[in-house]
Formats: sequence, structure tokens, C-alpha cells
Amino acid sequence: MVPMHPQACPGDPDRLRWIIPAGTLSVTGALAAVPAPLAVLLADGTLAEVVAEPAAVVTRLGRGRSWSAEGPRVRTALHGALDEPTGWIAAHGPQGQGPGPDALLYAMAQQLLDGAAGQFARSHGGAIELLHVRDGVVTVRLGGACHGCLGAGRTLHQRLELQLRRRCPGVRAVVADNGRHHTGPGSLGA
Amino acid sequence: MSPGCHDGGGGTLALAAPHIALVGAPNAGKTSIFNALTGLRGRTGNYPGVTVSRFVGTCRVGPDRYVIEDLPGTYGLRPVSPDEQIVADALDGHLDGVQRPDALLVVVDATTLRRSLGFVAQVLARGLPAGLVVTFTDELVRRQGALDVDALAEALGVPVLAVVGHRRHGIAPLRELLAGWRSWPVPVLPPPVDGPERDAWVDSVLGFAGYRAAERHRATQRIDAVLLHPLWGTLVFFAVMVLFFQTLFTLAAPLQDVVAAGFDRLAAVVAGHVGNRWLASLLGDALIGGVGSVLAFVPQIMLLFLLLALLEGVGYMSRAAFLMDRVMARAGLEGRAFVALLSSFACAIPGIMATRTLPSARDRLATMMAAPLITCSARLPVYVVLIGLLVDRSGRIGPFGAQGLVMFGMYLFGAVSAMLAAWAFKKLGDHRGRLMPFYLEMPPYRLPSARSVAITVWDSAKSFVYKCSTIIVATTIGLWLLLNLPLHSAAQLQAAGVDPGDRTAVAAYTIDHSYAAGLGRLMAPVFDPLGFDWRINVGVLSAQAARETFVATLGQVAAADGPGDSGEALRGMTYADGARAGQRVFTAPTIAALLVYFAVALQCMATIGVIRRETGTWTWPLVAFGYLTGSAWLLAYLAKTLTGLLTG
Amino acid sequence: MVGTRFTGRQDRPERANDRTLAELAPGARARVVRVVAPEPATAGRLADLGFTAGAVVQVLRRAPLRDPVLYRVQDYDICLRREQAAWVRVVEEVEG
Repeated sequence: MVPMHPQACPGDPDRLRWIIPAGTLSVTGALAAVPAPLAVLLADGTLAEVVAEPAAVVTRLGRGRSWSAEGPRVRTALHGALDEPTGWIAAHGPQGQGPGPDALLYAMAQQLLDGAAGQFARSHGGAIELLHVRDGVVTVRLGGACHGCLGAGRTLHQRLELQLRRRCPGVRAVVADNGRHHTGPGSLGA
Repeated sequence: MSPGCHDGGGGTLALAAPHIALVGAPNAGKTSIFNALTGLRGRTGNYPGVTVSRFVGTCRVGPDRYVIEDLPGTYGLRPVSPDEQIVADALDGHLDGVQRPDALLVVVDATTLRRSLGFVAQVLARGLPAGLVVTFTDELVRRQGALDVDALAEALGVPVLAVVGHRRHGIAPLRELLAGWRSWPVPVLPPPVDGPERDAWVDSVLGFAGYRAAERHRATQRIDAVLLHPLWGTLVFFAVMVLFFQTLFTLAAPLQDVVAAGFDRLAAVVAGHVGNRWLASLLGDALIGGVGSVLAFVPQIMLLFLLLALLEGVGYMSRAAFLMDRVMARAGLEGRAFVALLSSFACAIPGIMATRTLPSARDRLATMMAAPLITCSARLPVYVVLIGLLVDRSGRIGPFGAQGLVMFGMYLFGAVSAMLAAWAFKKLGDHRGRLMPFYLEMPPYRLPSARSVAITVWDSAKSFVYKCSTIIVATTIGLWLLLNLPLHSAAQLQAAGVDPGDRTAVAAYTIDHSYAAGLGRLMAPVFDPLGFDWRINVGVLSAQAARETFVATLGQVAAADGPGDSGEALRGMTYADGARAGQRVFTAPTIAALLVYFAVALQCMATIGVIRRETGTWTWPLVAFGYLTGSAWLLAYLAKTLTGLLTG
Repeated sequence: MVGTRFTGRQDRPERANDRTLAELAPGARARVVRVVAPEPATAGRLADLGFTAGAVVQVLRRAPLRDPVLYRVQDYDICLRREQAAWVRVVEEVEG
């Protein structure tokens, strides 16, 4: 069985993000078709939408449903569906071609910035914005209190790069686009 | 549920303090957290109707008060024993007199996180607001492991804090977390509790949290290579046990003497300042003496609990239980019972209190019923006198001194009879059919927190003094009254031919004609078959307060000139009246009967008090008293008859 | 006793007959198949202790009188009596 656990989507009680190992699915984004166990739930209105992410599946409840009632069923169905990776078909993009590694990295970094890493910065009055990803190098812009802050380097690396590397081993570096380059743990100097 | 509003303006609303419960596995460090939060403001007792200790304390965070309860450690919420049923019932609010917790703090060991998450899943499925406290994170890192606590919180959907219990890191954030218990996030979906879905959930959460398991603790592996070795391990074990035992004897005895001497001096001072001799004696001998005899136990109890806490805290206790389990299993018990029974060689009281370490209620009870049979140190003076009367000092059996051999025999008898009694009680309790499965975690060796050890020792002493003192003091005073009443005026004394100025003679006369003596004579039909005369009966009666007093009382009764002469006086003692008038009292059969009687009978009121305290009811102490006294009589009679046959 | 790391379960066919944990000697390594216990509470407890399907168990050592036996499962050490170990059905992982 594929390792999987649900996390709430902040501000969106109808959605649940089911975290799975990166690379389980080779598709991301809206889906044209899903394996039978999930399709059943979409058909009977339990779920309104299923979207794939690089390392997660986001499900949205059908109208009038609740997670307390439907959750266990959705979980079981998802497990069943994940055992058939070929049954997941993207709704757009070239046939069978999943997004490239950079796109995956981008989506993952964005997810992290929406979550714990970004939260840390936000709690200190700063902001981190994801600019782009090229060849495994993730570029961000620091804003607010983060700009010019020496602690920003540590934040970037300890949180973002660590978590990113855990999910996408292909990440090479995380850099800030404000003239200062932090290219890996060695630059921490501590 | 307690009301939901706080009057921040210092209003005087009578709000019930929020009730927070600590749950977790036995070795997770829960008690450290409890102690850190509640300090010495803990109170213990029992859960209703069972032999399970209850630890409740208060914690102040700012102006707010929280009631913290340390629920018994358990590996899962599906109970396999009545003790664990307590935890499940407490969480559901089904326990009489125990309020359902408002929130839970789940304490897990970072080094066993994979296993512990299964438990976390069960707790979260209960639906109570919960926060996770992860302990031993320092050890995890030291052992090449890793964990992102914030990511773990995100994955689980509940607040997670790392706390290093013995260094008090994280206690301040924990208190802050407590203060915000009403706004703890809860998981949207309770996790699956068993099956492959649960394992998938655990894998995923651990992966998201960047968990790297600790490598095996090198030091533990190396130490265990010796300590668990079939040969060396057993040798080390016996060495540790002998040391343990010896420390109790050699360290506790002088401490006890110091306390006793202190109280004697106090009694003398009091006596000197009180004019009336009778009142002086009441205050001095009975009251102060009684209290003194209670407090005299305290050094021994504290020392024993110190040793036990150190052994347990370091982790050696599991090793000892591992080595001894097979032996204990013969009596239907388990390895951990060995230490409780071993402690009883010093005194049954700490031994009985040590049964708290046994997870099974039936094991605890069986061990408690058996512990008084172990030859405790109080029996020693009695044995010394009696064996001295029985066997000549120069007597030999083979290469061994006869006296030593008989003494060893008494110790052996105590140990064997205790195992038999434990086995019998275990069997008798079997009617409910369900036997608890045996399992024992072997934690890595760790340095125990000095603070936790100190708190345990203090707590044990406190609870002993509060709960047992009443019984001991009452018995001491009661016996004193029995032995010193009725009073005789100078005229009465002179009429009986006793010189009122001769203190010793007056004392002897008073005892001879006391209520106790009357009782002794009344008990004659019961003890006659054993060969006791009324004076021995009085001694046996006084031994109910404490066994050691038997010798002193007997000496007084025999009108000895001083304690050193009691041996001779006793040897020459003859029956004053009755069928055997003129014959020597202390013949071999009588001595044998006395030895066996003292070996078996439950005479120590303090023991009865402790059993009452540990079981929370009067049933078991009375059962113990009944079965032990009855068996004592029967076995003493048997001994007398056999000895009579053997010695012609 | 160091065993070679067993990397892919799918690479090797499983033994047709599984054995009980109690039958394994110290030094053996096995994977739990299922737990068969006389009472559901007991089976649940063994699962709580980490003996779930797929978990890897190492047999560490026996007590001097051959019972109980110390095992390593899910990153910690625990001992079981022979009676309990007999309820855990495993497939032994062979070196090489």
C-alpha cells in the first residue's frame, strides 16, 4: 500500500490534501480519468473533484458532504486507486508526458512555501515568493522583514531546502534573488 | 465540560480547572513530564476499586490552574488488563469519580516513534483535543536519527512539541501550549487505527516529518553483552541483588537506629519534664515511641525507593526481570516480581509498595499476599534469641555451625513459602480465565533525572507516613495501655510483697497483672497446643505492633534484670500453673513452634496498613491476616509435633 | 551477527510455509506475516507492540533459562515469552 496521510488545506474545509511519495503518479493537475475506486466516488457525488500534485492528491468534497462521514471511504478508495498508477490520466498536456522535473520542483516548492516554511517566514513578518526553477535551482525573492535579514539565509536553507530535498532529490540549490547567493549548506558557515 | 470563557479582567468566576491527561507508553518519559509540570504538587491514591495508583497534580500557568493526571502507561487503548481498562474508561469518561479529560497530552519517545504512532492514531481516533509531546529528541540525534518536529505537527494536524524531560528543555513552551488548549488544531480526519492503512499512514507521516530512526545504542549493546550474558549476566545480577540487599541492611539499620535514638532522647526529655510518671510514660513510651517507630521505617523506605528508582531509571530493572522471569513464572508471576520479593527481605513494607511496578493486578495481589512470608529484618532478633535457646552455639551439623544452618533454613523457608503462596493466590484468582500476555520493553540505558528520582523517593516516604502512621501509632498506644493498666497504688504493691521503689519489680508486677496478661491467659486455650504459656502469649500479642518487641516484652515478663539476661531467664522459665506446672517452657518443640509461628504469622500492623493503602480496601489486608495467622497456627502445631517426635 | 541487507521483497519468492517467531534462533531475521492469538485483545496488543504485517523482526538473544527471548522490532527492543512468540507467524529472511 502506498504511504499516504491527509492534511487540511488552510482556509478550505472542503478540500483535503493527501500526501503521497513524490513520483508515485506521473501526472499533475486536473485529471481526465482516475482508477475505478475513485471514479465511483466522483460518480456518486461523494467527491466533486480530484486533482493531482507532484507529491499529493487533493480531493474536494461533494456538496453537502462531510469529511467525518466520507473520510474513511475516500481514504480506502484512494489507496485502491494509487495501486493503479497507470489509471491516472491528465486532463491536459502531451499524451502520457508528465511535467518535467523543474515543473515538479516548482509545484513542490510552492506547496512548501504555502505551508510550514512560508509560515515561519510569515510569523516573523517576512515573505518568500517563488520566482522560478531552472535546472534544479530554485530562485525565490525575500520580502518584508526577510529582505536584508541575515537570518533569512538560514531560514531558506534549513527549512525549504531540507524539506524540498526530502521530497525531490533532484533539487540542486535554493537561491535568493536579491543579489545574495546562498548555494547550499556550505554557505551557512556555521 | 468546563465552561469556555476566561474573564481576563480578574473576575471571580468559579471555573472548574481544565483537566488534562497524560497518556503514553510506560517508558516514554511521561512521569518526567508530569513531575516537571506539577512539581511536588502531586497527590496519589488509587483508582476506584483497583490496585492501580492514581497520580493527579496541579499546574499553574500565569493566573490559570490546570489539573494534570498521569494516566497509567499503556501501549494501546484496547485493554488487555483491568489496569489498562482504567485508561480506556478514563478517556471515555466512564470511570466513577474520575472526570473525563478536557484535553490530552500524548507523550511519545522519539526513538520509538514508528511504533508510537500506532498509539497516537488510536488516541486521535478518540476525538479529544490532543497535543503531542516528543521526548528523547536529544538521544535521537545522538544516535544518528532525525526528526522535523514542525513537519510532524503539520502531518498529524495537532500541535507537537519536543521536550527533553531531564533537562527541562521545552517545559516552558509546553506550559504555554497548555494555556492555549482550547485552540489546539484537531485533525480533519481521524487516522486509521489498524491494518495496512494504518501502516501506510505511519510511513507517510514519518516520511513527511523527515524521520530517520536512531541506530542501536552502542553503549547499551556493549553493556548488555555482559549484563544479559547467560553466565556473566547472571553473576552480575546476583552481585547487584546482594549489594542491593546488603545496602538496605547495613545502611538502613544505622539510620533507623539514629531515628530511634533521637526519639528515645525526645521521650526522655518529655518524661523528665512531666511530673506524673504514668503520663510521662504514656507520652514518652507510647505516643512518641509510636510515632518514632513509624518514622524509623522512613529511612529504610526512602533508601529502598532510591535504589529501586535508580535501577529502574537506568534501565537495569528490565534486565533483571528478563533474567529472573523463568524462575518467577514457576510461581505464576513474572520477572519484575523478583525485585518486589527481594525488597521484602529487608522489610515487607517497601516490598509491597514495590509491587506497583507489576503491570498485572493479579500479579500485584499475589505478590502482596506472599511478601509478608519472606524473612524480614524484624524477624531477625526473634530468630536469634529463639535459635540461641534451641541450639547450642558450638553445635555443628557437618562442617557448618548448627545455629547458622537453622537461620539459613528459616530464610529458605520464608522464600519457598512465599513462592508457594504467590502461586496459590495466582491460581485462585484465575477464575476469570484471562491471563495477561507477557511482554517487557528493554529501553536503552539512560541516566535517570535526579529530580525525578528525588520526587519518587519523597513521594513514597510521604505516602507511607500519612497512611500507615495511624495504624502503627494506634497499635503502639493500644498495646502500651494493655501492658500498663491497671495501675497499682503503693499500698497494693506492698500488700503483694513488691517494693514500690524497685522500678523493675514494679514493672514486672504491672505486666503480670495487666490487661494484656489477662488477654494472654484468655488466649491460653488457643496457644496451649503449641506449648506457649501465657507469658509467651503476651509477647506474641505485643509483637503485633512490631516483631522486634517480642524479645523485649518477653524479657520484661520474665522479670529479667536487663536485656542481656533475657536468654538465661527464658531458659530457666517454667510453667507456673496448669498441667505442665514446673516443666521448662522453652523446650525444643515449643521453640520450633514459636519459630514457625513467627515465620508465617502476619504480625506487623504496618504491613497491614500498607496492604490496605495499596489495594484501597480492607478486604485484602484482612485476608492476608486471616490466612497467615491460621496457617501460622497450623504449621506451628505441625512443627511442634514433629520436633517432639524427633527429640523424643 | 551482521546480515546482508534485504532490499527487495519482490525479488525473492516467499517461503511457502511460514513459521512462528518462537521457532527462530538468536540471530535470525524475519518478516511478520500475521498474528494468530487466542484472544483479539492479545492480537491487538502484539500489533500495538509493533508486530504488524510486513514488520521486520530480529531475534537478539534468549534468557539464561531459554525463556523469554529478546527481539528487535520497529526500532526498539522487546522480550516475549515463548508462548506469545508462538502467536506471531513470520517468514524468515535468509542471507545472501
